[in-house]
Amino acid sequence: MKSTRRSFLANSAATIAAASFPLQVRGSDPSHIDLSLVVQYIGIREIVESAVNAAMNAGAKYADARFTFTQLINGRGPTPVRSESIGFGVRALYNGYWGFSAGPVSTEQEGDRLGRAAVLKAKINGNDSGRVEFVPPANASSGEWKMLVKDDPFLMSYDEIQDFMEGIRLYISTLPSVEGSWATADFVRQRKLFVSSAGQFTDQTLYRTSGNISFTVGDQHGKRVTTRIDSLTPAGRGFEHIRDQPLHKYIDELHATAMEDLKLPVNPVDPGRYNVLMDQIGVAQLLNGSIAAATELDRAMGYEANAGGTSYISDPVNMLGSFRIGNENVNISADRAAAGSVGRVKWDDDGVEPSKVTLVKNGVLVNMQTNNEASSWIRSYSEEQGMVSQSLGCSYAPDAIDFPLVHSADITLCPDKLSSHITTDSMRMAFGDGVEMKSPNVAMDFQCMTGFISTAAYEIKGGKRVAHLSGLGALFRTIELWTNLAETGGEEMAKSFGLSGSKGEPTQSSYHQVTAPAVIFNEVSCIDSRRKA
Amino acid sequence: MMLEDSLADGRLLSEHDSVRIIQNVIDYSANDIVMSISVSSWWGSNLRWARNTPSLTSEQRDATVSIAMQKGGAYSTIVTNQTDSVSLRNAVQYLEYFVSLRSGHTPPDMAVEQPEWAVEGIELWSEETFNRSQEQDMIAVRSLISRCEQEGVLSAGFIQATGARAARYSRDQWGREKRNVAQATQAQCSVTARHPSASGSGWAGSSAFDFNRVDVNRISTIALEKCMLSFSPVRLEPGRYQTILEPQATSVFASQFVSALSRRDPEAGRPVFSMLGRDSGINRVRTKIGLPIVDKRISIYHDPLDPLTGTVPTEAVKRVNLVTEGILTGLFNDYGHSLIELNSLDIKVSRTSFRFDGTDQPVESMISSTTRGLLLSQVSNPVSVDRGSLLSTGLTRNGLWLIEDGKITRSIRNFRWTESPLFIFNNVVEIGEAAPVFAPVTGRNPFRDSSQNVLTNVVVPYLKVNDFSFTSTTDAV
Repeated sequence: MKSTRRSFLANSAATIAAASFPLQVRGSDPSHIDLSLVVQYIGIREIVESAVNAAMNAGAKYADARFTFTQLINGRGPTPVRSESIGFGVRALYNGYWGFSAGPVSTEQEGDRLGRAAVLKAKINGNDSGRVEFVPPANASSGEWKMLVKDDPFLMSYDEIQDFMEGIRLYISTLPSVEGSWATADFVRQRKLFVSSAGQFTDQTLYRTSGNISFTVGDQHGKRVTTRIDSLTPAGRGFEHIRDQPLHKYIDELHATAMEDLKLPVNPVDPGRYNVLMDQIGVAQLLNGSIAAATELDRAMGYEANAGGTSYISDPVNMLGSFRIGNENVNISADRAAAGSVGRVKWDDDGVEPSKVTLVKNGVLVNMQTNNEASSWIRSYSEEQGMVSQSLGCSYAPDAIDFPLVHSADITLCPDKLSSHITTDSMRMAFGDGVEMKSPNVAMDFQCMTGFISTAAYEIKGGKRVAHLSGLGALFRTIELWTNLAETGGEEMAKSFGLSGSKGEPTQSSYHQVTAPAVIFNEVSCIDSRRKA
Repeated sequence: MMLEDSLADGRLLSEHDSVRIIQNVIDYSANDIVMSISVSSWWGSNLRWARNTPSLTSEQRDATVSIAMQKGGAYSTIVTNQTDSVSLRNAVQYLEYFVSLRSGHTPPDMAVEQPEWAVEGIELWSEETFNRSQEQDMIAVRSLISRCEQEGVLSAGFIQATGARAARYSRDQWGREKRNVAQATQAQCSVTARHPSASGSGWAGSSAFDFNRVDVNRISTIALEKCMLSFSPVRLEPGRYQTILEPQATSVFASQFVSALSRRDPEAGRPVFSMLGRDSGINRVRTKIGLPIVDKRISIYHDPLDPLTGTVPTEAVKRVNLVTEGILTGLFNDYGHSLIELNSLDIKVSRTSFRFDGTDQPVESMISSTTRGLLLSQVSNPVSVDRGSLLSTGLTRNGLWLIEDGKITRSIRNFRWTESPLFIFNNVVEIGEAAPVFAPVTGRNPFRDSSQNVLTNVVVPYLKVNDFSFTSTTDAV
């Protein structure tokens, strides 16, 4: 007899009893137990397959289904907020239109209902021929894959994590002039099963870990400087993402810098054009807003026009291969296969194994970020270039309850291999006069065409920080900014950051890694952000 | 109890099943523990289209059980979407383990005795919206697409109907229990019409608990008209302009303003609504309550019984007059701050729904009385640049027009603006008709996060203001 979750739950009384009383039976810390028995995956694959079969029997030309089990720990002190959710979603293609149906119940009966409902939804779109050309990935592989982590936070005692974070916080509190400190950690583990009507089955487990270690120092005049370790943004790692970093060294460095900052005078902004030294996380934010979102092909084609917006790449087919985004030194690649990256997957949500591509080569746009459907929209360009027209593997849904969309892959601004600069300090010393921006926030417009930077900033003279610039902001046009890229730091100084993006209706969020060295931009328009017209 | 059995009506947990799930959690828990339980479920059906073609028709549903326990200063929360007995027992044991282990390690919270008053609110459930057919919506979408094709314009849009139901339970340190159940529907439609050359864009949208209040054809017509009227904009010098803000634009500044109206911040000395000196009675920094803070024609309030901005009756909420004829008359004040800090029962639970009173003056008359100014359709991407003055910067979007001698004469390229609602509301020339704006709950489940975000309904007027600050231009359309 085929085992299903329902029969499993009904018949396995002993197992239920054991799992029901984890404290008494196991006598152990329950902080790592899975709440739901469904995670034992008894018959789950068959249930997911039955959903796909139901959709195909209802007339779908293609169907796929996802099952997700997502666990979160928000470590905000001694007692975490913990959450678990199960998602089950079916996507069906009928007559060139998509239908989608999803819920939290994972039974064979529900799979059957979801499969049929997805086709019914697709049929609502109309009887004419739809727009979707969807070819399942050729020779698609099946299998199991688990992101490699050293310390799975969901198998650790939360006490161990909490002790470590509290130790960091206590260390910070012993440093001079510290007025407040924070040390928190968040963890996500998601197991995702995928079945398609092309016969593909994948089972992968993904992790996301992030931390916030920050503190404020102040002086007797009421001046305060808040600083944080910027290397704890989300990564595709376990607790080692936090524990294995040289945190005490970072804290000491940040504290020394913050104490120096307290001594610096605060100058008003004299608006004008300045050469700007931008730190790594600032460059990553700029890449995220001006390149990552803009090169999502569905956005460029207008599919996000009623949500987050469109792109300055308004005619991708004709702009690819000729449109200049920046100068010769701008080389940007996209990938979802780098170890430790938060966007890392073995298969995307179309079942495609992602490939590394160049998006911008010597300043020219040469590719877009696509999923299986979107890759057909630029087929003519791909064929002209002698490339196989295929998805780059950017299909992603945060949860099986969400419909997969094109989300940005991990993005890298290629460092200058010939650069002699291996630290931001050495770049500053060679910089001369100008402005240094530190950990800025970047807000783009709805076409990724222009942006506003709000930031902590220093006035640099003779290669040294001489003052804070109060309320400094900057305005830029994407193309002008990347055309004015004057210097890119060396490979050794490149850093990776897990940044987020959102799109769709209903809105869905994703994380991807953005890697960049510090850079120097010429002629950036700096303003007093608090000055009105 | 299995979730598939509980989803009896196929979309939401029934009230009966929600209450049963709560009872199960109570039964699994120790009798003396302070706890709260929330069981909610939601369902949504969506239509999405772009480039004049439907791109997705979908249906989603989910459930959430949130359990929080407190003991001796220790507090922990767990959230799951599984309602079977094994999952719930494990959740309870997990929580009890944590709060017991940590109990006594931190000082216990001061006892909070919640006041007894009537739970007021209105029915925000529309059976018609919950049972609305997507075929009906698709006919409207096809009609819009056809009109856009005739005009050579590309449309994109989203139509959604959602329903949500929640049951809540709480038990305090004296063993007193409270229970309530609530449900709500929400309908939304928004449409963007863009010229294929990206040289013109129009948007319109509406959200309400009842689909009968969301006129898809009217929304489509407005989006299309704005797209055509905004075609080929010309560049205008940045500067200060007399500006008419449509309600959707007004709502961004009004929401910034209302979200700053918390009593906790000024009494802790944080700026905006604090002033020099201390209130001797409670030894807190004085607030600006009773003082004029904006134009005397402005009144803003939250009323749980207002049919357009009302509240689902999930907890004790009462009317709060925030600004009355320009004078600050109320600040939101939560349980903890009121009872622990102030030893007072003057509690005004914060809400994101509010009404900003309008007049009967039509926008046409506001335009005809403008010698030179701008008509602003929508603002986008606001970023705070100075919390102390509520100053923020953002962009105009989907329609900005020049008014000359009482008539709209040109479409203008988008601007970046830098403004504060405090400045805007003190430089009002005219207040026009008030209208509900597009302000749907953006999360999947309206009941998932907190009671404060059950529904966001905002009614605000057209405003004509002097010296609105446009600081630079942008080429984005």
